[in-house]
Amino acid sequence: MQHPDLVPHGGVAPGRHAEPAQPWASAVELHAVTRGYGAGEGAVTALSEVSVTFPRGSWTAVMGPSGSGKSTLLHCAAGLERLTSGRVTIGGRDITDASEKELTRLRRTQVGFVFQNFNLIQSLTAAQNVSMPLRLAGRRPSRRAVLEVLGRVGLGDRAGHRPRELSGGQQQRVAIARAMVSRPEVLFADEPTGALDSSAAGGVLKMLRGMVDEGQTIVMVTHDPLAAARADAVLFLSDGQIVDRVGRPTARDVADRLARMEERTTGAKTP
Amino acid sequence: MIVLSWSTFRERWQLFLGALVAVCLGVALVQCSLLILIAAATPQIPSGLSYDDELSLRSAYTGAVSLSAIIVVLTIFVAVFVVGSTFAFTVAQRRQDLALLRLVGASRRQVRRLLLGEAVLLGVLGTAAGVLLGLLLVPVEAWLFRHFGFVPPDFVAPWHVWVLYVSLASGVCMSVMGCLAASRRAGRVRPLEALRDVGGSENVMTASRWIIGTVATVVAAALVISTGFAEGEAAMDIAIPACLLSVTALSALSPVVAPLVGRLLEALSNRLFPHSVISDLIHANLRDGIRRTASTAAPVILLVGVVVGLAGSSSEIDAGRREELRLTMTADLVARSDRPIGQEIAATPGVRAVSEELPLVIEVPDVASDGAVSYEPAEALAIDPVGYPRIHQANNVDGDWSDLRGDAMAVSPAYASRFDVGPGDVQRVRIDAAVRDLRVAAVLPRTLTGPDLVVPLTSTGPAETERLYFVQTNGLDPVTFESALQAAAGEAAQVTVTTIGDWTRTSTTSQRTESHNVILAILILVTAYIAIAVVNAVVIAGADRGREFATARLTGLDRALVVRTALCESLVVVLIGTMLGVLAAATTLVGVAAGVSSIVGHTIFTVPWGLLASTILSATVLVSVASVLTALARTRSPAIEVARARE
Repeated sequence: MQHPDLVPHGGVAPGRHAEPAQPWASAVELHAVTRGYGAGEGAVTALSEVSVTFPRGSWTAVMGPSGSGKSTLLHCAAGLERLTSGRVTIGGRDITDASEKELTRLRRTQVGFVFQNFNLIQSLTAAQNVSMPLRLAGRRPSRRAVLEVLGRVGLGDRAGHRPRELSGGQQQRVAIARAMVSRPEVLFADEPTGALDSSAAGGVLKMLRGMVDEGQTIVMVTHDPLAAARADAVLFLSDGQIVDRVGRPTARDVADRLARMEERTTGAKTP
Repeated sequence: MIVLSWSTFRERWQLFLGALVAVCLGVALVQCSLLILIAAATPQIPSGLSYDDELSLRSAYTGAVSLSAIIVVLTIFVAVFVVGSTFAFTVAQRRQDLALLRLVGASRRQVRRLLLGEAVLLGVLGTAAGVLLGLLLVPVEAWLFRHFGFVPPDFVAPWHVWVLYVSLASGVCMSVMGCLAASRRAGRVRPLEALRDVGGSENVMTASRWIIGTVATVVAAALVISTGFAEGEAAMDIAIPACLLSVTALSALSPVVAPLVGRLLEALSNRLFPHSVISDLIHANLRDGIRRTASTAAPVILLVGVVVGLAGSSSEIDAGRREELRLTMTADLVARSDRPIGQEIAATPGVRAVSEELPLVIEVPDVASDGAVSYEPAEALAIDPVGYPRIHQANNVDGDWSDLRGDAMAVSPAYASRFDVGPGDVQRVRIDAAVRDLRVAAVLPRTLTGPDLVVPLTSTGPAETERLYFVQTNGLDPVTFESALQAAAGEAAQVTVTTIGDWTRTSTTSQRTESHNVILAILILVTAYIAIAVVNAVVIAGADRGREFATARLTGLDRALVVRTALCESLVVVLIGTMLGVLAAATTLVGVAAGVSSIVGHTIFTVPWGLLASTILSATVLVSVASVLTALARTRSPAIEVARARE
């Protein structure tokens, strides 16, 4: 099991123009990323000068109170949102100014997504959902290959089912299979267990852990200390900035820190 | 991608059914109008008809051709409008699905291809259904034409195989064109929209809407202004495109205009129901769903604008005709006879003046661009040049009535400019199959009722047709006058006398029936189509609201209240659509009224209140029923299940 600590930026900041991907390079890097919304008086800064590196083969949980900027961090890291300033690299490639075409290619090959609401295409079977990214990329995955991926998430016998015929946990595993089918550099997960009961959530987390142990990089936003405790490290965000990080977290530790952060923010607001 | 197209198709069939119905009906109507047009343009004239009968038959067919040409144009416009707005709406409803595709790696082009593939699929399916429906519609429309007297009773529209290709091409073209702008917009859907509900941030008022709206407004304004200078029938010809363009302009701009009207209504309902939560909810929903409001209002604008605009224009022209007759006619009695009785009338004591008039058909040359000359029938009047000006107070005649002798004729300004002739010039025409060169004695003033061509009675052969005598007396009683004439003309003659009042009524009524028939014939099928489009839009708008309704129910509204809220929302949308439709119709009506008033000499403005009321009533009923049924269907399962399940 790898337990790499998060590399904080400052001392070991890599060059602004990343070298071609090296086997030892980090999976995702954010350099001084700022993301603001709106202009004038209504302007909001969701992320403020955030720099962070997600090493290859690590599982990082991102936590923080509502509105702390965790979802924005995920979206910016995944190339779903444009930055106000700063740079993002994935697998050593700078994606900050990537064109729409390049971003499409990125989504097909280098990043996978898993969401709270599964976001499966309701009209397609599990197998069709899983093969969708490859087919969009112009490849024709064999039925055996798709069944194998589904088999790895324990749904080999559900290939012909439509999402609504599956339980929440099963749907999320189909979503994971879909995200993993293109063997992405990094898997972004936004509250992957948020809509699941605890036993289904446990199954999904166990599966993610197994993937990380085989070398997959995962960046996960979550509210759930139990989910965060399965990660290698936890980042705490508040008001758009990284305020804390914990390696080898335990659920109790994570819950305590979250509670203290909540106290601080509410304390600051009502002196 | 085909797999995806097909499976999406199966999954969201309610949405596609709406688009399918729009394409199917559009294709059916276009195909059937086209067949009627072809049949009327190549009429089977039975052999053995007298020359006059053949001429009047041909003249009737000429009218049927221009009528069905108008129907074809109107149908194509409505079909493109309905199919386009339906497709745009269905694409807008699927934004989140499309964003999800982008998220898992679909390129912009793939999203566009997906939607265009669906459009082609819908076009083909809709066309197949439309061709069959069109087959059923042809006898219906042919019956309408016969029923309203545009074509003889034995009129049939034969089937042509090539119409199949036209239908297929038009069906697929309409679908793809309707989808083109929507698919371009869909290509720009950002993947992030799959994660967050950013429906509100979608810019409904697109650049293409601004361009279409502005161009249509400018052209419509130009046309409306030009109707002010057009003559009766010509004004009607301009009124149709002016009306269609006003409707286009207002529905293109409806995302901007509808909220303005909505805010007005909100202020009103705040005054009326100051503490109503439902009223607040309705207006909040309308404000939030600008796209939905605009898409549902569009067919209502079309319905009200087209029906009231076109029918109103025709009744405006009718009012002008009646007023013109009242102002210019000095006769008090009208005598009808099957033989000449001019002498007898003039000899009757108490008669001051008499004008003998005989309607006839004159053929006028039509020079094609390659110089070939063909003749087409025109309606004309043979008159007595002495009596006519004494009965018809026609001012501003360019020329002299007394010149109208021998090989001479008087022409309306429209024909004068068509032939490019003035008083003193010679124009070739055909009367009774004989070519004649007639000297233009006078150019008549612009009128709504007046004849286009006038020849002296002597230039026509003796005919057995009915003759009309307009008589000015010093107050003779029609019954006494009739018996006096009957006595003078002999037992064999058939003489009837009516007062000018009765005659005007029946005459303008017959003209009125005719133009109203035209409007009715044009509108019946098209109106039915628009009405279906209105229902369509309501169903599509409600199809996606299951979750929203469930949330409302979990918040404390019961099912009946949710349904009632949805109903009220639809009614407000009908109100908005009606107001904009009336605006479109009003601009057209004002233009036509200006034209009619300038010809008649004083202001005439009629509002077709009955028609307006019945149009609004039917739109309201249709929308209410559709909206209640949709809302009931969307709230059938328990709220908590719907809210929990992701759509």
